[in-house]
Parts: sequence; C-alpha cells; structure tokens
Amino acid sequence: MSKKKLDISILVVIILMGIYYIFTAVKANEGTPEGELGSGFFPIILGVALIGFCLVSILKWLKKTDEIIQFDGMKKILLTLGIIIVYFLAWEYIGYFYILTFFLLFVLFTFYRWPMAMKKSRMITVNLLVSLALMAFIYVLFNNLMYIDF
Amino acid sequence: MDISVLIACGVAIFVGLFVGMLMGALPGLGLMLAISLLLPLSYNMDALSSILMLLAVYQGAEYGGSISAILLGIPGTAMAAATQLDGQPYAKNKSPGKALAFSLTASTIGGLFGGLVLIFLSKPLAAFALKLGEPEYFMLGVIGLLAVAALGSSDAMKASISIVLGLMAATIGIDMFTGLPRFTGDMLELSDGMNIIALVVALFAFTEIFKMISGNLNKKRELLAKDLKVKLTFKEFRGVSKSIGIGATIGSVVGIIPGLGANASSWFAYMAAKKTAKNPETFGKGNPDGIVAPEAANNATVGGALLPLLTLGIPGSASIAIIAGAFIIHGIQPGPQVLKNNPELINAIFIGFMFTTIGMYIMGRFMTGMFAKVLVLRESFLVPAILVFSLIGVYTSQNAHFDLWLALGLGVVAYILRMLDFSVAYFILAFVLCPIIETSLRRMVILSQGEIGFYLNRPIFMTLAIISVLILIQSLRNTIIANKNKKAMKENTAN
Repeated sequence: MSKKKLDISILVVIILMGIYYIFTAVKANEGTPEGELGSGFFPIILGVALIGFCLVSILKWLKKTDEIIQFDGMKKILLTLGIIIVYFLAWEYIGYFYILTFFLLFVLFTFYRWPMAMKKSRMITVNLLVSLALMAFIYVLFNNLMYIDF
Repeated sequence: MDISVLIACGVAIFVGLFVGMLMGALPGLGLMLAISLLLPLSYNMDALSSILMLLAVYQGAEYGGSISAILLGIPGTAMAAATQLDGQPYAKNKSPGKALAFSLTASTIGGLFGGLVLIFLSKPLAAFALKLGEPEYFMLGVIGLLAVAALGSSDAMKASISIVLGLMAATIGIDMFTGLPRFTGDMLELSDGMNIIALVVALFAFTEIFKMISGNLNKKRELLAKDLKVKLTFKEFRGVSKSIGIGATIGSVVGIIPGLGANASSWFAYMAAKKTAKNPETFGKGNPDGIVAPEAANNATVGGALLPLLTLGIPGSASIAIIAGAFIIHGIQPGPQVLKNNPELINAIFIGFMFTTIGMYIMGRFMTGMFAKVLVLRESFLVPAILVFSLIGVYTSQNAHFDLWLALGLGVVAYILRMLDFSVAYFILAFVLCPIIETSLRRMVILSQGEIGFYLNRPIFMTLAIISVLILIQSLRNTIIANKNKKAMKENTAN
C-alpha cells in the first residue's frame, strides 16, 4: 500500500478532527465573562497547532518520494479483532466471565497454533489444558486473592 | 512502619521484578508492556506498594532485556541492544552464565548508584522547585515535551502531532477551572477524563499484540542454555569496575534529561567505555566492559529519570509518565509539594527503590535460568495470555465495559498510527503533562494580564524560555542535517 496516500489520508482525518475540536472549544467558550479565560482557551491553541503540524506534514510529502507500507498478517489481526468483539458483547450482555474467557483463550490458542506441523488432536488437547490452567490461575488471583467480581 | 505494609511492599516488589524480568527477557514484549499490564493493579493497592511495584518492573525489565540479548542474540528491550554486541559473543565463546553475571552485577550497581543520585539530589532540587511559580512550571512542561520531540524522534512533525493529540486527549472531561464538561460527547463515562489504564493498555499492550499477531507466532528460538550459573569472582568484578562506574555515571545524568532515556544512555556508556578501554579493538567480540557499561547505564537511568518526576512533577519518558499515572490514580500529583507534605511516602519510595535493586540481584542470581527457559515459549501461547490479562486490567480499573471498547478502539487507531511513524510514547507523555501545562498557562495568562514586563522580570522563566528556543533550534538543525544526509545517500546510490 502507498505510504504517501495512507499518511495523507490519516493527516486529513486528523485535520478534520482538529476542526471539530476547535469548533467544540469555541462553543465551550461561549458565555465566559469578559476578561476571563473559558474552558476552550487551551484547546483552541491545541487545535490550531494540530492543524498547522498536519499541514506541514502533508507539505513534506510533496518533496518526498513514496514508499510502500506492508500490512502483514491483516487477516489474522482482523479475525482476532472479530473474536474480541464477540467476546466483549457476550461478556457485557450474557456474563459468565470465566467460562467466556476460557473459550476466548482456547479459540485464540487454536487459531494461532493451527499452522504448526503437529497432530491436531494433540494440539487441541494441549490448548485445552493450557487454557484451563491459565483460567484456574486467573480465578485464584482475581477471585480468591483480589476479591474482584466480574 | 506497620508489618503488613512491609509485607505488601515486599510482595509488590517481588511481583514487579518477576513480571519486569520476564517481559524484559521476552523479545518484543519489553518494559512498556510490562508496566501497562501491572498498572491496573494499582487501583487495588496502596500508593506505596503500587509505585514500588512499577519501579521494580522498570528495574527488572532493564536487566531482563539483557537475558535474551545474551542468550538469544535478540535484545529483549531496545535498551539491551548495546549489551548484545559483546554479550552474545562472550556467551558463545566463553560462558553464558558469566555474561549474565556481568550484566546482573552492573545492573545492580547502576541501579543503586541511580538510587543514590535520586536520594541526594531530590531535596535540593525540590527546594529549588518550590521557588518556581506558574510561568516557570508552564515552561518546564513545555521543555519536557520539546526535549522529547527534538531529541528522541526521527520525524519532528509526527512527534509534534503525537504530542498535541496526547494533550487534546487529556482535555477531555471536567474542566478544573470552570467545572464544565469538555469534549465528553455527553458520555458520563468520560466526565472524569479518559481512563489512563485503558489508554496505556491500548497504546502499548494492544499495539504490541497486533504487531506480534502480524508476524510469525510460531517461530522457534535457538537458546544458549548451557552453563547458566550467574556468578562473578572478585577479580572478574574488579576488572570491569571502571566501566561500571562510567556506565552508572552516564546513566544517572542522562536519566535526568527528558527525552533521552535508557536507550540513549546505554549507547553513550558503551561508546565511553570503548573510548577509555585499553583494548578497544576487542569491543564487539565479547569484551565484558561492553556488557557492563550499557547495563550499568540503563539501570542507573531509572533513578535519574525519577528525579524530575518527584521534584518537579515532570516525567521525562513514557515509562516514567505511566509511573506518574500510579501517583495520580492515588490522588497524588508528583512534584515538590509531595516531598514537602508527604515526606514519609517519598522516603519509603527511596528505601523501597534501593531494596528493589537488591531484590533484582537476588532474583537474577537464582531465577535467571528459569527466565531463560521461558525464552523458548512460542508467541502463539504468549499473545492470548497477554491479551486476556490486558483486558482484565482495563476492566478491573473501573469495572466498566465502556473502558474495554475504548481501549480496543484506541488500540486499533494507535496501531495504524504507529505503522505511520507516529509516537505512542510521546502521546502518553503529553497526556500526563497536560494538566500541569494547561493549569500553569491559564493561571499565567490571568496573572500577567497581558503585561510583557511580568515575564521579563522572572529570570528563571526567561532562562527556561531561552532553553526551549535552543532546543527548537537544535531540533531544526538536526532535521536539516538529516535531510542533507538523506539527499547525499540518495545521490550516492543513484551514482
């Protein structure tokens, strides 16, 4: 992927964010008595500085030659993110933290170790045992020693 | 002191050292991840124990980094890169145990030296800090950020954007002056500002996890596992004592300067030891002086780096900024007032810091072999475990699912920004420094009432202003030189 295109796109998004930030800061300043500093005073300075730095960064790209940026393992990252999102939703709306976390560990171990050249039944057994051991450690540490309720 | 407090501190130091050494030893994990994982525990601990635990992580990770640098030839932390140059050849040609013993002894002496510097310089510096007013504090905060951006980054613009984003993130929440919410988007969860733990885990743990996932998670590592007895004779120690002294001195001084940190101090110490050595040609081939100098320096940096935080309230690096977070979690704003109003806590931190270093030596002597065995653990086992501990840490900090979503979202954004050379370290540093900078700036503007004479009559303020201008000029000069070098290199390749 072109680093120049991605970088400039991100900088533009940051500039837009900066504009919104300044707009909100100006609104926060409304109603401030004359001679006093409103809560938007410092944020306005920051917003302007942010936009300035981003514009200089974009201008710098005009002089530089483009580079290729490698996003290796995106599939693995996106799948991991998907698994985490499902885990978050299940934890928030269903509960059963310890059981869910056990499944999360087991699924991730299996997903990451699947390409390894070893007997799959053995791998799954190992993953199950490691997930169980880790969960037991987490249970003792947080439930029995730190009294944290999930 | 109560016996229960002593036990709590002892346990905290042990846990901190264990996690620090383990994470420091495992390549790719390192100091920031270790601190990020343990910071959430601060909520359930007293201030002293949690601060000592994080300091122990810092000390432990500095030594832990050298374990993999020596045994695997892969530095566990950036700070251990200089150690690897001589550490691995020494381990291969002579003895891995001896190489580790050189590293451990130097780390311990460096840590103790840095601690003494901290103890002896903190009172005079804090007394000086008490004389400073709002304008001077504002300038100190600005210098802290400028120094980091100018001295520690290859792209000053990206560093500046990261800093401004960090400052902006810190403005979210109730404004201390007006009591009105700012940038919260009417979300109650943001009224106290962004949860620092969610932020730290997102920026350091999640980005590191995504980075590991993008690589080969099942890579097997080759380990030099024979002869792991970590012990030095007095003669061997005497032979390297000069380099340890050089490293410890350089490390302490460099630690005090914001923006440089343990990485720079290790290289400075390595170069200084090489320059003053009788046989500099043996450096890079397994000279023990090349192991001890950077190791003494990176541990001495810890004490030095704490000095500006405890006396001025200014963290000089991201790791110290996270440790400052532990103070803030307990309602303590680090700075001269803490030294004045809470001397028991500060003295206990000083004593605990020295015990942390001694604990590191004991743990290193007897547990290095165990840490070495963990080095062969594949990342496919580590990543899910680290992920789960990070998530638990974020959740337990405020028992809020909102923080989990916040951390995940920020983690994804931070990962993309890191790929594009933005700095998450500068972001967190700015986030922690923002309250000091904003409060001082607003008070300064109100007090001055637009009179320029208000500033001109303050010699310390003017000196600090000149220093910040000099840092800016130096940064500009560095950029011009770097651009010229790049151009020359391109022309050479074209020819």
